[in-house]
Amino acid sequence: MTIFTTTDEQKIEVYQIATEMKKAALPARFITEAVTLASEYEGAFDLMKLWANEDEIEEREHICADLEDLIDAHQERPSQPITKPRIDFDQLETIGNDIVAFKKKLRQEVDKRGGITLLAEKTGMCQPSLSRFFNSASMPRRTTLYRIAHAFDLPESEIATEWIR
Amino acid sequence: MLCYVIEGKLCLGPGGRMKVEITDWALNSYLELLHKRVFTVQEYKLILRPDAVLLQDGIPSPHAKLQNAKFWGPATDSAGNVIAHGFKLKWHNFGNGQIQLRVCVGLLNGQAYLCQGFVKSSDKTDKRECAKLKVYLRDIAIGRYTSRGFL
Repeated sequence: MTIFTTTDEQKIEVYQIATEMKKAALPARFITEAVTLASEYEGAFDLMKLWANEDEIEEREHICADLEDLIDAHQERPSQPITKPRIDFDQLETIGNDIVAFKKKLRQEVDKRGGITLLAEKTGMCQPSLSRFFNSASMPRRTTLYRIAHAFDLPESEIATEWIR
Repeated sequence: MLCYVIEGKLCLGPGGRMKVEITDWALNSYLELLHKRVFTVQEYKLILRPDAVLLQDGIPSPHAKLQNAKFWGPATDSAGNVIAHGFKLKWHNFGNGQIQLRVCVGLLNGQAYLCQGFVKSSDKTDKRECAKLKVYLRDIAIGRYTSRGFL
């Protein structure tokens, strides 16, 4: 068996935690995809369990954002190892600034169309995940950009960036 | 590469070097840390990168720094169990911000994989990052990951 595969006992617990997530009014799409991931990946199960045992709202939000990121990453993972072009460390600062500027512009488009709360509703994404997305300098994922574009019927040109995962 | 495994330890043959691969997860975490001014380009070049390069000489390491359990050690999950193949490079009170900087490393397939860097602002952060490390290690084990080259 591959390392860190969720056990049958853990899978049962995943469904129990999913029920708690539903009670906490997390989006159905998010819960469903978190359950799918956590039923295979023990690491995702660990995150769900951390969420279930957590009292602080802010920490729960961090966990949801982590899970959402893993969900999108899972959908985009290559079928075999791939090597993307190397990026020199000296370029990282400039790249980070470009990404932040791109996300700022995209955020303005989102705000014009109703803002983050409406976007979360339309995409089925957790609001903390979207906040992290817009405030971070990491490269956006294609899946996330398509979700945003689809929610607000944005043209391809609005989500086009050189730096995409 | 002259590298083999004896009793679970990664060893190098004469003149052998262990490959240290930079994953896309690691690259993106560096982007975020750099943007948040957690470290500077100079600190990366003078401290962080040279420390990570020490991994090229294999584990167990001939370098005192990697023999120091406070600097290099196994990662543990939220239940306190050692994460197989998962390790951490740990810089304590790093930089002007005196932060706890961590880089998670996977040792499998006879090489090292830099998985993600993060600031350990609390035990809760550490547990979340170690959970993510288990996901990354699984994807590496099944060959479904993106590389950004080697150190």
